Amino acid sequence: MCWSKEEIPNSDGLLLRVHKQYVDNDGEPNLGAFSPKPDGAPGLSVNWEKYATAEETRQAAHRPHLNGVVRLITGDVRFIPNTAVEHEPVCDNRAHSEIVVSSPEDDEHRLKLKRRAAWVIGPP
Amino acid sequence: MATYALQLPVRRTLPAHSKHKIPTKTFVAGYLTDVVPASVNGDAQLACAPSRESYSSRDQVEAAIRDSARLLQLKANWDDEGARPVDHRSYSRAIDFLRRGDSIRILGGASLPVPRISACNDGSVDLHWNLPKRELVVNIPATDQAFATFYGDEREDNPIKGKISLDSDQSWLFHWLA
Repeated sequence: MCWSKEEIPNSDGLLLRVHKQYVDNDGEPNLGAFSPKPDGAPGLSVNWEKYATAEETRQAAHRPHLNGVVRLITGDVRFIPNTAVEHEPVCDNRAHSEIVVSSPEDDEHRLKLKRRAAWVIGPP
Repeated sequence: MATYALQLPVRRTLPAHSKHKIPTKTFVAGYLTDVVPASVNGDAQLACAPSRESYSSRDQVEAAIRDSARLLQLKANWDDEGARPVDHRSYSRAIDFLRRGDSIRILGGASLPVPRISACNDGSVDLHWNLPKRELVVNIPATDQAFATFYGDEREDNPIKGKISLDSDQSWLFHWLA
């Protein structure tokens, strides 16, 4: 392991990339932006703001210009039932973290994540 | 998780003698001031997003449905992160479900808001109503299963959630929304 895992304080920000295809006409991210990947991933990949900026988060996309970035407050996310936030650093991204949802088929967490998200970059 | 198979109690503000009759003035006074056409602009944006508070005509529901057909054009990896194409059967079930709700509105004299119709990365389809007091999402899965999941609440209070059959009458859900 390149980086040790840390506890993310409730007051810290999490950065989530949002692809243009998940943005509605009025500039709001739709609920699809808050779905775990269909490959069985435990949750949503986000960056901990302590180790990454919004622009760095955007630039990590395959096509950065098609992506915006929203910010969530860790404590607000943890307040959502059956939802946790874990720092999961990888060698090329110390900021990498996961919003882990214990019941990903549940629509509640998506609705509540959307409510708590605020654009930092974007929408594209 | 609660699974709702029966009709919920009628909303308290409705007249006791008619569970389907919702006073038109409620909607006019509350929401009709922000009606905008449910159109999608000409670029690659594929989500269908009318005004979040729009209570609109049947034509607008149909316009939203027409626009949402663009979801069927999404190719594999449409979000650059491995998203699956929208399942055609799921899309059809979503539209059938929406049209049934719209017909309830016509019969009952109340308006059904136009939802956002959007795709998820697993090929499922979301119908999302975001109203001033209530918010509801119905997700139609990208499988042959005849059940959809739903979640709704009143700005974090009084949540409802569960699974519903897409093959049977779910008018209670639309009445809850209204």
